[in-house]
Amino acid sequence: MHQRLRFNVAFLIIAAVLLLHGPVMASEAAQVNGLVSVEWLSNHLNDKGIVILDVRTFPKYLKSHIPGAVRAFGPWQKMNDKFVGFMAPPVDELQDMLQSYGVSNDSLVIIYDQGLTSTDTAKSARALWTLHYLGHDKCAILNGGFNAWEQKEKPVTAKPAIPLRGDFKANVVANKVITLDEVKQRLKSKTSCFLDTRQPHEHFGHEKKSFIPRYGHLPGSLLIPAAYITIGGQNFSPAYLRTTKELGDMVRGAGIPSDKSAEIIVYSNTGLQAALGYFVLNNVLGYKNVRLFDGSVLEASKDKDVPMKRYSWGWND
Amino acid sequence: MEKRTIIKNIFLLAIFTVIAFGLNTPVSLYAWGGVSPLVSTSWLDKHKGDKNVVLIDVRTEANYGFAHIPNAVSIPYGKLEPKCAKECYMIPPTKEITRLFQNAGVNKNSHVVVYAHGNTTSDASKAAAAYWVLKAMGHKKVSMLNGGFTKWTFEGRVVTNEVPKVKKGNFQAKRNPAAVADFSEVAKVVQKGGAVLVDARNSVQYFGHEKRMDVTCYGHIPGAINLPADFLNNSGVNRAPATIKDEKDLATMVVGVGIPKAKSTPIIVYCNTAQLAGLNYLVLKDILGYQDVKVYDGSMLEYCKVRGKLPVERFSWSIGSLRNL
Repeated sequence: MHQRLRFNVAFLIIAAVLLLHGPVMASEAAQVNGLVSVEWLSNHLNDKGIVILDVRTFPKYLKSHIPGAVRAFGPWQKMNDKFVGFMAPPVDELQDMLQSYGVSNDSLVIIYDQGLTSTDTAKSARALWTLHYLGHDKCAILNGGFNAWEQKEKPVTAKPAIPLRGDFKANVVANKVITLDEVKQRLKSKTSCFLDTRQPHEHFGHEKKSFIPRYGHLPGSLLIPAAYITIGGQNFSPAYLRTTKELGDMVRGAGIPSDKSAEIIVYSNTGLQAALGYFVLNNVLGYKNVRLFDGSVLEASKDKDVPMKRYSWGWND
Repeated sequence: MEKRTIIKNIFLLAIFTVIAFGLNTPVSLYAWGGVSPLVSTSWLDKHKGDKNVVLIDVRTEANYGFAHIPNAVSIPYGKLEPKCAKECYMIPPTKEITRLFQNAGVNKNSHVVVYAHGNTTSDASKAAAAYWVLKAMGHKKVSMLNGGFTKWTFEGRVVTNEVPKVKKGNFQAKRNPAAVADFSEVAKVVQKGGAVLVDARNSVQYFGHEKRMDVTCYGHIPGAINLPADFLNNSGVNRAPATIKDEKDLATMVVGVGIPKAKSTPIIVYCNTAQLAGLNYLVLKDILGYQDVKVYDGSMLEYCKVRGKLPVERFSWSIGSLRNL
């Protein structure tokens, strides 16, 4: 009896796999944690409804890219009207841009970058966050980027892809982003967890980027440097994302609450590295309420009302 | 009337002392009575010919041979570096230290000033580690040249390639257990607490994202606090020489990384090879005045090899590790 049941279950699974092979599998794989492998992508290059975005610079794209990939340099971020931060462009501009890349609401969007460093991966993560912000969850990052693709000797081309215009309609998810005013209020009420994804020496206030006016971090911030999230550069490795276990350890070791519904505000200098932190928490570890502080330190440190703490680790503030 | 004269005299004496100290030891008042842990280039320029001052250059012999500060004697840092079999010892045997420093002309009462290059944290920490070696070998009057050879040459001060004639000194090295911790002491702290462990490496290695090739495990000794030696000096910021930061900033930092304010707190510092730890030792012990600071001379190089069942902590900032100190 038992044996028969087991046989039936096995049969059902095999049948399901056979039946659902193709685009459906594609979206399934992508939804696991928003990450696809080189092998997966090379098997699904010609799937219907797949849009591959190349977020590298134009010259790199012209030299060689993954067959069918669209040049998608952006702008994913630009100086906003008030010149306070390097932030997401207006929604209608983004929508227009994504349509020109051939994105529709049912597209499966795969994003890739150069794949050498964590900063490269952050560019993909920023594009992915933008899609999430516009209400499009069917998207994933190519693990290891173009570098991994090349190392595995997959085909490349220099011929630019000319996409058919998509009909993507944005449906903004407001709580993916957090404004300076809300951040100020959270800093006062101390109800949220702040996560800094810059380098430790920037967090500590030993050094800073020249375009950032003040040293240090938002008081009480925790720290996971985006640079530690991938293994890019170690033994010539492409920027593969660390394993889910390692990332889980990091999040615990950094003191982030284990409650997956806690509000976590991620920031960096300009909101680029922060997107990688967002990706890890939201996609890999399943935190439900992760918000990107789009203005980040660039915007916050210009505002004299925002306290910044120097020469300490945030968890000791 | 008489009383007033006495008060006046005391007052004058006090002013005189302050002025004298101000001139002689520019960064000093925290080391009243002894010598200051740091001396400035201008101080050294005035006192490099003093009978009692022995100047030691810990850069490589080649660099020394090319140009050094007048009257400096060469003891390359390589001669003080850790020697590893199964266990690692930063400090060579006392006999060897005695020979090295006697040949450099160091007497029991000499004021020894050590210097290295002053471009990077690594440079500054070489001088600081040599400083610590001398302290750990029982010498009492040691200073480090703030900013090193780099600051000296930036300021256009005289250099030479002339090797000074040295009269053999009478310094006798004697291990000072108050400055050195060995593995068993560290192991006890890991298991039972009782001291603050401070990791002087950069955060990449502390956190365990990367490691040095010859160190065999990732991460840090459980519970250790990260206070990178990089943060303690000005190198790397606008190409400034590796001078030690202001005392006020240092005090803020030490509390900011989570080291208790009480100066009696027992502290053990370590890094990969006990070189960077030298800088933290100098700052914590002799600038900020923590009374009980030791360097674990085996550091990670040894800990990883001999730790047995003792854990290492990776991907963590050891938040809240001092709760049961």
